[in-house]
Amino acid sequence: MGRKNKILVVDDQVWVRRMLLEALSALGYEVFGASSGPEALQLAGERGPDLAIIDMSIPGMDGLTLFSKLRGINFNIHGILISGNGEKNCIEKALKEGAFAYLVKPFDIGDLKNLIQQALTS
Amino acid sequence: MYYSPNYANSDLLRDQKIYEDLFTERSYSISEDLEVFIKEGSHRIVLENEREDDEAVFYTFNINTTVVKNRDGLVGVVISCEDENRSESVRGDLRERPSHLENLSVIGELAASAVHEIKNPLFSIRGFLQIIDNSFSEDDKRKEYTRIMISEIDRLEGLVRDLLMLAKTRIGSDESVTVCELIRDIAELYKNRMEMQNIKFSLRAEDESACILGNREQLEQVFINLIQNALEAMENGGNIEVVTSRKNEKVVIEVRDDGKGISPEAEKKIFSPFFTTKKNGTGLGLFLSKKIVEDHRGRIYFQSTEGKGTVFFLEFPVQNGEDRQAENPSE
Repeated sequence: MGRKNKILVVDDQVWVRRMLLEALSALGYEVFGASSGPEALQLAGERGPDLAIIDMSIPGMDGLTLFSKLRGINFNIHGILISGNGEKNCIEKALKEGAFAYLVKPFDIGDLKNLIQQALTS
Repeated sequence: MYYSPNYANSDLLRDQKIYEDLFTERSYSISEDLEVFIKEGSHRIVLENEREDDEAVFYTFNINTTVVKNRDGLVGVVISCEDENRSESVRGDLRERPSHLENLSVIGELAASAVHEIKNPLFSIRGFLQIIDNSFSEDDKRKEYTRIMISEIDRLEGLVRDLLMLAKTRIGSDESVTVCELIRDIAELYKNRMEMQNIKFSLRAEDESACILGNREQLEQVFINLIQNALEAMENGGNIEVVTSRKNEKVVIEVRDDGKGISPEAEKKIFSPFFTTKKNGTGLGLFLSKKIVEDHRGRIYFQSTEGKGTVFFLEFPVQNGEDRQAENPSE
């Protein structure tokens, strides 16, 4: 078996972050979490994630700005943006910026799992 | 006003005009819409009248009907008609909101933040439950409990989402919304589900360019609710047909399905908050839809035959070309 894919989870909500880390770890991914934009950038530089799950509203910078900075470090990183806000223009903007998907909280972990698999094999 | 039991045939009622002196040319008779008023209990009507200087003026009335019954059945109908005494010039700014509505918009904004705060804990609870659920084998009784909890969380989430939409109904700017475009966009959203359920969708439009003035997101919500209800009424396939037409100064939209229909008991309550016949419904969909339609100076009503299908009728004031040009002077 090849190396485990690495996933960065960025959400300032402590239990949301913990839950996502646990769920993804159970699926066999190497996971690490950050609660803010600057922390996420530092971790990404150190550990080189293949995919980032980013909440749209995090301290330090908004989720889309973080995603574009992460792409500055590694253009091939996949981004799944998550938010409690499901307004059409937010979703369209995120997808236009190159996000692989946009999920509105609360979403199903099974749906997230499928999207991650699709992103990592695309 | 008090009317006799055979109200539909009452000469008294047929001849009853409200504000006859105001509406010299286009007087309005309550009897035209009486069936609807009685079915819905309360209703809001907006009448238009032209002044001498050609300015159109709107008059808004709140109509409340109470059916009076004794042991022998229907005795009569009490109808109260309250003049909201609010008139607005068509060429003035229709979008101007009275100040008490601004307070409502503050509540709307507060609700939007509250919803955000509610969604995060709901999401972490739901996710942890899924993790627990995955750890149980299929024949474990506890798996049934986790599934129930997850579906209850989904119901709460739906409730929060609908309440937010309700709080936001007075917020947002109006724009020119092309009815056919809006309906096609929504049909596209449900394309896969319709295919899966073996449902055929069609749109028949008398005027492709008919527009109404309103908030697109809210109007979308109304049609999403209606299409979703239609889909849920047709588990074994069928047809959804949307027909749009012009009737005087109104755009009339019919959403027809040949699903299971609405039972006579449910008919009386379908626009009431928290009334639902669905396992996971919030009971706010049609309540919210009615509120949105009325906020757009429109009306919504339905006809249904159990076992055969339902038609929802929506009427909105048409936005004419002149208004649209004023909004987009470059056109």
